[in-house]
Amino acid sequence: MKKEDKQLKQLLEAAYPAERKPELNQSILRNLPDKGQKRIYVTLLFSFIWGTLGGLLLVFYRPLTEALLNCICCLLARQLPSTETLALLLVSLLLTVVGIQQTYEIITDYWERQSNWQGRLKNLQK
Amino acid sequence: MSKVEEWTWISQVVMANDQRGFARLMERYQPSVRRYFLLQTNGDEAVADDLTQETFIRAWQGLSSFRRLSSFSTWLYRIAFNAYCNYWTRRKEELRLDDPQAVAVLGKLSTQEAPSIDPRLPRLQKAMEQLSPAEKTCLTLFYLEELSVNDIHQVTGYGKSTIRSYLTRGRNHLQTLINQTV
Repeated sequence: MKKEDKQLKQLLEAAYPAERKPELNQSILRNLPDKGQKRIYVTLLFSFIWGTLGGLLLVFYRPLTEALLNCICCLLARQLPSTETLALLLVSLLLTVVGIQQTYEIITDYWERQSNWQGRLKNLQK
Repeated sequence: MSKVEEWTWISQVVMANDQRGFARLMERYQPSVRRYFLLQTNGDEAVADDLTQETFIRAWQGLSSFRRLSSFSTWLYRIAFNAYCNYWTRRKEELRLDDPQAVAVLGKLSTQEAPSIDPRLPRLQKAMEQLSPAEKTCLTLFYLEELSVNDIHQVTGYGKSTIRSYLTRGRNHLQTLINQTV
């Protein structure tokens, strides 16, 4: 930087000092919007509950297990299963798939973000 | 605050929405961002505070999209610059950024008196008020925030030659007014 530039810089710094204003920081912190962290936890909880419920239903609920077996047998015999069986299976499968998929998405997204930033930090520290 | 420390706080904010980390970043950058707005608004503290708040709230909301293509300060000044442009648009929708008439309108705001007894300082402040917002932005970012021409280009989107010409014009204008008192 040239001498004239340095002089101008000094004058500008003297004319416009950078003053710290802690109360402004406090006010900003108070007004920070919720970034939806709570929403993520709630979604995670619901997906987990739905996923578990669907899975448990499929495995332990006898009529459902029977319906599943019935459905497989029907398909093997090239016959159409009853509407009731199909509806029961579909609801259960839907619950399981949606629940597991949502849980998986949230976990992978969080993991990706975390590993991405950890990688950046390590690169910076090298 | 070292670069590593800064990145630690940024990563904490991104990964865990940690407000303490964000508070540390604010402690570091609030004075210079606020000073930028004070200069742009000719010392209007209330507006400068509002714009500073707006800048940091936007930074908080958008920090996860920060991709380290530039330094954090450049990214933050880009938000500040946009916040000021929006403010300007709200205030004077019809006037362009480099229109001297707009400067005259907004230049009627109160000016902060310098605490120093250096007789050149009030003159310098008056001279700064006469500059266009674009010139003021370039001078502030270059001299006070020590950003390079390339960084200023990233912040403002102005061409590099335009920035150099704003700097030269602003510098010459200020030098002339300062030297009048010597």
